[in-house]
Amino acid sequence: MRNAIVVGIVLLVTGINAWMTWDLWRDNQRPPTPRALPATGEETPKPAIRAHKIFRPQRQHTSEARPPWLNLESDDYHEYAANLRAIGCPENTIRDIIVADIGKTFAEQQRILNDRSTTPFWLTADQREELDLERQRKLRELALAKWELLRELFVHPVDEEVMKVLRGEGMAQASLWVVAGFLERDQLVQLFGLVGYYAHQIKMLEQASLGILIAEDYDNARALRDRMEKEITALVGTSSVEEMYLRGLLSEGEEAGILQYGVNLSGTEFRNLMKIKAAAADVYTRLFAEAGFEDMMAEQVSEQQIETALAQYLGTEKYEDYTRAKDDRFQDIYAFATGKGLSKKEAVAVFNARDRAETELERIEADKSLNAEEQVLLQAAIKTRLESDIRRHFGNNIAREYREDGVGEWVDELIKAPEPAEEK
Amino acid sequence: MMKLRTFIWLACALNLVLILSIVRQGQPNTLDGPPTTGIEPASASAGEQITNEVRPTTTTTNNPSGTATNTGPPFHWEQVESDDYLQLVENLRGIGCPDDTIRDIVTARVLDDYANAAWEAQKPMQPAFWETMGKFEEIRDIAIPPLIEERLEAIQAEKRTTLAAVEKELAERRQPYRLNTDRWSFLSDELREQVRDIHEQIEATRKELRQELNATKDSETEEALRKSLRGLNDKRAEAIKSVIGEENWARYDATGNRSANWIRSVSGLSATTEELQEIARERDALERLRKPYPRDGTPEELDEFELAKDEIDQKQKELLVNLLGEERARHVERAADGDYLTMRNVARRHGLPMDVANRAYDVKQSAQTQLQELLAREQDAERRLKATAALLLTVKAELADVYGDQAWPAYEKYGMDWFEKLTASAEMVEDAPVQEQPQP
Repeated sequence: MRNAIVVGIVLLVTGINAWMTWDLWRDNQRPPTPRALPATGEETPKPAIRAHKIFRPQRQHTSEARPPWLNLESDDYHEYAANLRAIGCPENTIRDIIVADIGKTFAEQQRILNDRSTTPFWLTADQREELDLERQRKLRELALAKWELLRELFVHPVDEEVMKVLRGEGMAQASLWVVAGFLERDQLVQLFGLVGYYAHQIKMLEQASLGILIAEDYDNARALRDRMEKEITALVGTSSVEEMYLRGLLSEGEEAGILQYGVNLSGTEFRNLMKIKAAAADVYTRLFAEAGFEDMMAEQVSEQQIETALAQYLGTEKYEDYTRAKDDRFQDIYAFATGKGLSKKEAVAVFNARDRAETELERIEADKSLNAEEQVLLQAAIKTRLESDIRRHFGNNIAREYREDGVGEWVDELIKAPEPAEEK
Repeated sequence: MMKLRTFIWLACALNLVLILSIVRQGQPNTLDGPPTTGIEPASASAGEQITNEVRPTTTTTNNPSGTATNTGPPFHWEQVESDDYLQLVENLRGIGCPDDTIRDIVTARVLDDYANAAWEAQKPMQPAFWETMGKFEEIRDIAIPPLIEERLEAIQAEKRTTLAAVEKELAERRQPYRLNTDRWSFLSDELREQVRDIHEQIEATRKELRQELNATKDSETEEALRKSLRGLNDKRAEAIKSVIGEENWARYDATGNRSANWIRSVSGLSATTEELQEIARERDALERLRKPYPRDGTPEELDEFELAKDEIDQKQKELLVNLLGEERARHVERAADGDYLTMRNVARRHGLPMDVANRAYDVKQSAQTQLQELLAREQDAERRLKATAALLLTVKAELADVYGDQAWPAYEKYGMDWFEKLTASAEMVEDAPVQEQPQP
């Protein structure tokens, strides 16, 4: 009996062992199949862009995939990404492969939607408009699906267009350095992806509105703005957002280049100046305002308040320097004067003489009590005094050059010769 | 007893063999690629090596998202990876990666590597940003320190060379020709496909001829090539005509003039296909009578041109009335008014029928007529002011009524420019001295 139990146990163990060996052997004999790996996101209804055969129809005959690469590919981008991750493919390369593929799929779907080759030619404008609006709606849905898919796959999405900007050279690259050069490039890629995503959403809102924004559009825009702020702040932090905003304002605003016109500010003072200017609206609201949602630009601080704050911060002298430096008229005078070795003082004196002369001319022109002859006499007197001021501050030679070089031609343009009376 | 012991020894030996077999079979294969394209990244030669200082050491990540994998991978990326771009192309080909995807991977990598290098090169400029940037009005004026500029130029130059070498390795990406126009839509699928093929062939020829033209330095060859290029469109037309026949060609041709496109863009016009075709045909016939503008013409010639132009404009107006009737001819004029398009868009945004926009337009037209009559009729300034104010109030109320409570605020915001102008024009009359009526 004891022997029978021992024999039974030995047979059972041997049998299990034999079955495991056979099962493993059979498994190894199967041909390789694509690995259907679990998707990373939750199961959601597949948007249009995922429901199509993605890349293979676009490939040229000479560019077919073969095993083992073929085993990685899948029409489901989540699965494709998971398969690439499973073989240890770097994240950036996964992004390059899938973003390019999604880009091609998107372009193909766009092309199909835009294809008018089977649309009847002889339609009225209204019939065509209906078709176009429907087409536009589908194109917006498609673009949205693309971005949502990119978000699902990479959290901080990037599309081909965003990458094109980030990989560009020349002015595009220089603009990036100016605005965001202090960030790490990886961070910049993520940030630009998010900005691209939201810029697309804003564009969609704008397009769908047909130029007529209604209350619902503003509700959507405000919700989008808040989401954008939350996500971007979480990614790069408030201080980086502020730095980029100030730099962006500087590169496109009237303060660009003012330090070359006799304003003596330190880097910190200049930055603080821009910060005071930026108080008119936050960066996100400004983005929406530029896209047509002007009503969102409820000024948090009025222009007057900003100027007062600037004057307080800079002090009288620097504030005057600052306002003068933004004036084109002063810029020309200052550039000429310093080019001739004169000081800022002389440039300021000539500018003040010009400013005074222009104010007086306006007053004379508006004075209805003066007849034409009196006006001409007064204008001539103002011009003579102005010319004398220029000579006094620049010196005779430089004053002559100033007029002859054409830089000072405004002196002649200031007072136009009276129109000859019409012959009756 | 002996038999049992022997049996146990035999069973143990058999189990040992089976366990060893399980252990061996359970070990994952590291490379499951096709035997004929086995990759030896370390020793494979791919012609010229394109490695460079911008390429950082590649790090691969294993499943960074934490996704579970159910079986061993067919190969590992490390076996494909190379810091030499051409080697990478070769390795990817070896594992069956198609050229399109190789292009996506390698081109992106080249661009990113050099963009990263350029990004790092500009970093030394950043700490002094606020001290220096206020001195430049335009980004293009920014003074880049010479050392950084040299480095940036070197990076860009190397990038172009590298990209060119990679592109040379990959098959040319060709886009099929698409007939993306509704002008051929009347053809059968089969004929349309043939027309597409002809376009594709002609475009391929055009490309070849242009390449030859760029390459040639011989003036006679150049002239001959230019002649061939000029003749391509006629050649295409002849080829298509021979495939689709004269009648179909005439149908196609009738859709290619400005009049055809113009009549199709008249918003708010209801017309049949035949009417659209007839208007396009007749209007185009009149268009052909137009003479070119005499740029350096004498005053007499300019006058003659203006007269002829007005005559054709008038005939085109009469044509519309004859073919569409007076009311629909007015609809054509209505479509040219930007205010009408705003009226339509406001209606559309609120899901209202287009008739709302048509009625709003009628209100506008009527308001303009009434105001003109009023200004001509009423000579007393005070009475005119009162009457104008009353009229404008009525017009506003009518518009509000047409659009309804929901859509009126949007129309008031976006569509009232013409109303403001109307108000301003009435006020200008108010300021002007009242003209004396001629005494009978």
